[in-house]
Amino acid sequence: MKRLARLAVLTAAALAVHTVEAQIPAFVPVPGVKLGLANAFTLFVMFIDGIPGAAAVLLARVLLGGFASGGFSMLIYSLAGGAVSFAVMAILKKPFGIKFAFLTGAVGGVTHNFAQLFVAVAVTKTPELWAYFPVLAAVGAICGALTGFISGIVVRRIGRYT
Amino acid sequence: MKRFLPLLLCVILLTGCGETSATREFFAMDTVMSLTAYGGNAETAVAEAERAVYNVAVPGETKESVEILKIAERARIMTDGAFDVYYACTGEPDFGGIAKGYAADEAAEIFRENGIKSGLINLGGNIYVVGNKTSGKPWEIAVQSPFDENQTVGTLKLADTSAVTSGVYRRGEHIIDPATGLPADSGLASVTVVCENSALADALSTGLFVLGRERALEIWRENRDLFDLVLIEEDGTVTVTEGLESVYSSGGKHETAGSGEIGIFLGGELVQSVDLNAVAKPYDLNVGGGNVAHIERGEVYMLEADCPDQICVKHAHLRTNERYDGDTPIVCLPNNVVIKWI
Repeated sequence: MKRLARLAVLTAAALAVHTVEAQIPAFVPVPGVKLGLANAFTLFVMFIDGIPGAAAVLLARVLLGGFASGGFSMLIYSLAGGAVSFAVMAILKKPFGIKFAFLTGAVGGVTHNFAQLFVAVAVTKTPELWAYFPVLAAVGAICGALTGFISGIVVRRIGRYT
Repeated sequence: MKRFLPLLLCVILLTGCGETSATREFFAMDTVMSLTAYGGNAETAVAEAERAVYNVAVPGETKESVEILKIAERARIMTDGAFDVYYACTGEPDFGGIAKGYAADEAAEIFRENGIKSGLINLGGNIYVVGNKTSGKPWEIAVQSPFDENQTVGTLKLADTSAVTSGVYRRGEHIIDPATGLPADSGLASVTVVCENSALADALSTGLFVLGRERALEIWRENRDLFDLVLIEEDGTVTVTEGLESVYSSGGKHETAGSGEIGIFLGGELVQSVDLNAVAKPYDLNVGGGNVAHIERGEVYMLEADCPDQICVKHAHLRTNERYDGDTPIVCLPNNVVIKWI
């Protein structure tokens, strides 16, 4: 029960961060460029609860976020990006550990954007979109490193209390 | 030894170091034809080529018929039947619209087999140039005005390819529209097709003439690597497709087709294509209910979108004079709307 409550609160928090972040206008007119701060929660939950719990939090957050913003058409992008980067981070979490969580986050960010771009190209049938990949990979790596770093710090500070 | 040198020189000079040429002019397929070849085997080449042209001109059951039929069929499909060797009435094939082209291909092949590196084949206006001129520069083929035989509209610098023209030119030669049985009336005065296969060029020039400018350019877009066009409309407007832009020169103005085309896609499917260079007045186009594109001569951009990101609206405008094939498309992901160069 306690675990469910814990995960629910974290889901709500992730959703809140996601929603607030969505209000910030895109820095560059490239589709898919964002900080992705809500992903810090994904990695955090992986550390303190485990992979299945983190998957549940991610899935709940993405679905609720889709309902809330009314953008069902965009759901496929979040799911694709989320699923692929989740799998990659789940694999890298153990070898990199908490100390190098920023690396896990960075790789997660790159794969997240790659998967989203892949889906975008498929849905719009516009291979020209791949031209965006260098930018998206760079932004994904940097922002992913940031969120991974945040996850690592938070785990170290309050992880034992959760 | 000293005696040999002048003798040696004479021999070399007399054989001309291989710069021989040969020309044949003759009458076949109702028109004047001329074959010119430069090179050691020039005489043989033009003699053989002349024989080959006569063979094509003689109707009969030859292997050439089969090959001609294949190319004719391809042209028929490409032009939706506007070119057809079979007339509805007679049921017999009439190779008039493709024979000269085929003969030119045969002649060119004979030239090449004989090692000719420079040659000009002119079968009543159906031109095939082998290699460059002996000077090394490309051949200059004149595009005649369909309104005045003595006027040249422009010149094409060509090598190793064929140029065939169909139009309202001479001898009251009427091109019949197979759909109506009447002379074609599509707004075009002449169509010149530049293509490495002269038979296809011959057939296409007739078919595209019947179809008119818009459809001709559409078919060109689907086959950009296969052929290029020079179109002259009844009002004198000249349009040159992009592939010829660098080799076409003229005293007057002309439009270029192919450098300004954009496609507007909804849900992955093309809903409209626009040649930005041909846009007269600016206008706004509603795409799928959620986006509005602004289109004007030489430029397109997303004016409005109902998506929260507005990334498509912020995207740089696509401009024909700044066109770069690596340009990213204007994309509105939530609405699956794409505007890009095609």
